[in-house]
Amino acid sequence: MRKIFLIGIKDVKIRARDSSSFIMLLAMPLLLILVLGMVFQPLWTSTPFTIDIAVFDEDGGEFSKILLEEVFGSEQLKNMIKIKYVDSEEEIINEVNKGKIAAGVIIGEEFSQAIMIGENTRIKVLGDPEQIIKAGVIKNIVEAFTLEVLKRRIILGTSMGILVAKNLINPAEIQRLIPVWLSEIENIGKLIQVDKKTEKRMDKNPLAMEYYAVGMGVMYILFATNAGAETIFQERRNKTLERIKTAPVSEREILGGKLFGIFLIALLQFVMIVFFTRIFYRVNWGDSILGIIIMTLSSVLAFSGLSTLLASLTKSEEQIGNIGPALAMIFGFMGGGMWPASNFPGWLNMVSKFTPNRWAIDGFLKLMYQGGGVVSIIPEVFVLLFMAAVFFSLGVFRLRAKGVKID
Amino acid sequence: MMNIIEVKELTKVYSGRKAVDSISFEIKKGEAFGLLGPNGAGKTTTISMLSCLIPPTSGDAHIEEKSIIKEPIEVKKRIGVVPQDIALYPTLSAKENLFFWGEMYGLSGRRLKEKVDEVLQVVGLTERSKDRINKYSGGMKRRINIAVGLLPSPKLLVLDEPTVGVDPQSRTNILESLKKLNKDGLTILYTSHYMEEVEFLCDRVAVMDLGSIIAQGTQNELRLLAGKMDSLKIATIDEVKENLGETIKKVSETDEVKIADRAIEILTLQGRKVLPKIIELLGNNSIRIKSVEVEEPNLESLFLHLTGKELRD
Repeated sequence: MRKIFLIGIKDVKIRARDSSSFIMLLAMPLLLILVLGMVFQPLWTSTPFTIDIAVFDEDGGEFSKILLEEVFGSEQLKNMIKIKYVDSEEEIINEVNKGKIAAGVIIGEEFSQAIMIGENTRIKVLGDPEQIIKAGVIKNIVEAFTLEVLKRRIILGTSMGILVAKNLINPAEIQRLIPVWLSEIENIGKLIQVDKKTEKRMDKNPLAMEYYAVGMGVMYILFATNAGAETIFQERRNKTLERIKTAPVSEREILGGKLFGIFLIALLQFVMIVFFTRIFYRVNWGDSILGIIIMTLSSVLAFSGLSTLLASLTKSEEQIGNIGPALAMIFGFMGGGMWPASNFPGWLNMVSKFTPNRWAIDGFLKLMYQGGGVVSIIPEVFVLLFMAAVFFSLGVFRLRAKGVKID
Repeated sequence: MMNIIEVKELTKVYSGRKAVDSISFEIKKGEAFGLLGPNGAGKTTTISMLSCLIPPTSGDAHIEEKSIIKEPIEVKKRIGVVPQDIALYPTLSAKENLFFWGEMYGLSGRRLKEKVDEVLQVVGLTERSKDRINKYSGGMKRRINIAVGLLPSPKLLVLDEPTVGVDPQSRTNILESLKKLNKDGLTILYTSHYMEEVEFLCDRVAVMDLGSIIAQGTQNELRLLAGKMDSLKIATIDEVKENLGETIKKVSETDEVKIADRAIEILTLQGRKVLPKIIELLGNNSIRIKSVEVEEPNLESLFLHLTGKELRD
């Protein structure tokens, strides 16, 4: 046992003296967390951006009211769309040209009346080409609105046609009844609904810096464990593994020492990332210290196992040096390191669950945003430990078969 | 004297090729034993088997009566191994390396510290012990490489070509240190393809070629095997006339005399004894001497004699 510990400590000491490792395993993730956190912060706030628009409402009727109050003013959009009312189309053109608004909406005179009597009418949307995304959002909302109106008008038209044809209603009454029916249809449901459902409901939305501290921190565990796994090949190259074997040290102790080294390197790296981001980036990792410790240990174990398996599948330091980072990046992105995996398309969301990154990130986010403590992370810890057991078993089996025995 | 190591019909076969072919030898306690042979002779494979790094295909060896097959851990406790390659951690200091390797050999605490200081002194690197290995010269690295082998206070120190790539001065230092250790009682098994090293250090020698031991014994015994003739080569400034040949044969008590213009080559049983007489003879005949070379049989010529090729082939 003592020799396992000594071999592991020696590996950490060697890694700590390697300046390129320091840059790769500590400076890089911290820099990435900082850059990503700052650049993508707007996308992570509850209102990702605001859209300033101007509206010239010449109509003032039933339907323009619906668009302005119930669509633009809906619970989901009211914080995003800031409406400025103007008195002319020229004013809108002027504002758009100056870039003060992303889009202008012009609702023509007797817009509502035209809809009610089944005549053609139109809404104009003028967009700022330099704010194409925001203008596009407004255009899409207006289009959705008009589509909904059209749909209802068709329902009404068809219904009325049937009623008149069967002499069930006097055509003279139709004009009087249309607003009443429209109002009743309106009461059935909202015109446009934005789906609020997400797979996970967090008590609050993560900040970019916090999310990337977790996402990148977890992704870089695999970089660290890969660096640890490389030492198996380095020992071979330096002939030191062979020399250890000439000392009274068992193969189990040698292998155990190497795996302990892999684990220790990654553990120290992640703990340093947690401390650094807590102190300098003010990342709140949650209140459950025990939860963080358990998540850290289980995540590092899972990645250590993965790197052990990788070392057993590769043939040289160069191979693991090439494949390792690529795998870390793929797993990092697929596991939700850049963007929450729960927002991925269905199949990718499912695939991401095969990466340790996904479970590690989910676990840490639970601690940070759900405040559930250790109990809340039991599923994640269980899956990570299961992954660790599978990866380690396969890796150790293969390593012993091909010989950390040393050829 | 008691045998510290007994090797019996040790064989290693790789993919149908015999790297070591049924070799047997013994080393007595306190002896310096050399395995001499060219590259590919099977020396390193033999050392690897004795160090329990690779299992023999057949045969066995016992170190202090412990079998390398049945009791490898016990064997490892009794030997110190100095591999051909410098097997050290370059970014750790010499002292850190020695502490790590000492711990691998089961040393700890005060005993470990004392042993580290002791081996540093033996290899003469106490002053530089805090420097990282990657700051060391090739010779210094070799010395630390040897120091690691000395850490466990081994009963037998096994060295596999420990001076490869070392400058002459460092080589002399290393060999002198080893000679001193041997004089102090340490048993040494030394492999090399440098004949001079083995001649300098070893009491007994086994000559290996193509996986087999082709001759073994003391250095004198082996010299006798090479043939008894010393070779005298004399270059002259003045021409040596053919008719002087008969007189030279008489003086040097041999028929093996070749005269060619300004050179004389004599094969005789006692080169050193007859040389003054020949010089006197040449002086009497007003033949001035340019150079004299005396070649006595050595392990190099033994190898040539036994295999028809040179050690460095």
